[in-house]
Amino acid sequence: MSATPTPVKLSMHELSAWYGDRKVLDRISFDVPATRITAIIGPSGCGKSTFIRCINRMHELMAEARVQGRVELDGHDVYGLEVAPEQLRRRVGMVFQKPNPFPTMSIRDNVLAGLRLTGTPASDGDDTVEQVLRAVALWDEVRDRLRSRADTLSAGQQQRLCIARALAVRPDVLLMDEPCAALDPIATARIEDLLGDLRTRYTIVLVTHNMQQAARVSDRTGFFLGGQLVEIDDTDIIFTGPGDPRTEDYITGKFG
Amino acid sequence: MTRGERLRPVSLGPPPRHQRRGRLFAAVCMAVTLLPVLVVAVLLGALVQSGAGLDEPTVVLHHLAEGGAQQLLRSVVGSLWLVSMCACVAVPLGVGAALQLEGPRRPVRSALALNIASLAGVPSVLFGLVGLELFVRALHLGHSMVTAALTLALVVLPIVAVAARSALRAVPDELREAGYALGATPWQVTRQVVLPAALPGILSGTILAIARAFGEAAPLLLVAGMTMSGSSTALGDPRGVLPLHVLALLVEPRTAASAEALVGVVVLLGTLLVLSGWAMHLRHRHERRRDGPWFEDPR
Repeated sequence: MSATPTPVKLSMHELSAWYGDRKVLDRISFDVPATRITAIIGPSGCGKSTFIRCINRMHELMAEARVQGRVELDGHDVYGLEVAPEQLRRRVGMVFQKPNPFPTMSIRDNVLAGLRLTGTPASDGDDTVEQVLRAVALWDEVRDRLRSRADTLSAGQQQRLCIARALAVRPDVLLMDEPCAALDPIATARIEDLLGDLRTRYTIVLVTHNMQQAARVSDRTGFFLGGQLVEIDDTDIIFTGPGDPRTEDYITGKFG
Repeated sequence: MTRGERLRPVSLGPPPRHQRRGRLFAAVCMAVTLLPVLVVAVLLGALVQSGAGLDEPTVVLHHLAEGGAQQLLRSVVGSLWLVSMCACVAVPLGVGAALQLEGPRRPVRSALALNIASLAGVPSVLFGLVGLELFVRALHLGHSMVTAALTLALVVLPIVAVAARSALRAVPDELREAGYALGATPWQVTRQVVLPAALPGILSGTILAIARAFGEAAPLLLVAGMTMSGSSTALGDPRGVLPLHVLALLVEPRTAASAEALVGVVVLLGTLLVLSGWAMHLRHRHERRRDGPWFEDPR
């Protein structure tokens, strides 16, 4: 995989983040290649969730949150003065740990929620719904009940609906914050299959505490520890011959 | 000690002290819960007793047929009219205040929230004095329906704000995050995600506040001109609303008047029960929805 150079989609330069006085990310610098899956692994509290929340500027929604450094999307600083965070978040979608469909909306309305919320007219609403629901392999399961409430779906279906909702806004990048943490193994396997399909069109940054998952689905893997990036490399290298002994200790289960 | 020994069945002696305390606490809680039921029962009992003690029920019926019923009906319509106007003022202001208070925590906000919560406990007659001073004397709105509605709005505003605030708080943060992550602005998230999710809670709080406004007499007495004689049930006159109509009937020297007041009280109670029932229904629907299989597999 390293043999075929791919363009850089996201680029981090000396990215640090704080909650109040507590520093949770310490000078992170690396590149994320386009249309690849980059997995971020590390023990709880290592800053991996904070890291991806810095990419789409969700971090700054927290009280007393602060960020320093640069995050570039296609070469443009997302923290630039002229960048509206709302515009950025439409290009950088996000899927959360717990499935969070809007409970007051139907399945169909959930898919179109991103467009409706932001006031974008969805003239081809039905086409969009079918297209993204097919993309997340949910179409055949819900095509007959698009008008029923989203919370009638199973947790795994809800999570795929949330991915569909993120895709409907047509982002370039998809951030996934432990998207399978609340799911059973079968639902997890379906999401992992889905990631394989999506990697051809989207740049995906996947935070996971599940090392096997990172090994199965990702092209590159970064290991975070104590708010720092220990190392990042092609996934097979990280899992077979990591450069840093701490990575090896974590992967072999000596801590974490 | 091995594992097997630990698993012996517990002895069946008298319950330990903490269990007895628990039962005592449960009993006290039950008594406290039954107290309001008792109050309602006494009220209803008094009503029935006065109804049974009527000397000449036929005179009452006759008077009701002669126009008393029409007067009563007009006073009910007047009350509905009044509380509608009051709601038009109090609900947007109350929900707006709640939204403002639910923003990021700041000392000013906490102080305001505490103030509003304490306002909900101020006796309504004091709001009547404020209404008299502010709307009648300073703003020259006269002893009108508008004055009455604005004064009642002051009475129920804190109730609406407190209820709306707790309804907004109950909306999970995950939903707000989902909205932001889709590129929505704070206002779009509030209007299209948070408010719809909080709506049943806001509505049931509002209905309870309206019920309070419906039965309120003391502040109206002050702003309506401080008179109980010559009950006017003309629409547009705050003296004609149901609670004041009942009050006026009670002080009238006519024998049958107090019996008519009784009928008025029954109508008032009935309306309040319907409103509270409606609020409970909304709350129940809301809770069933939240207990629903949101994060778990229903199958």
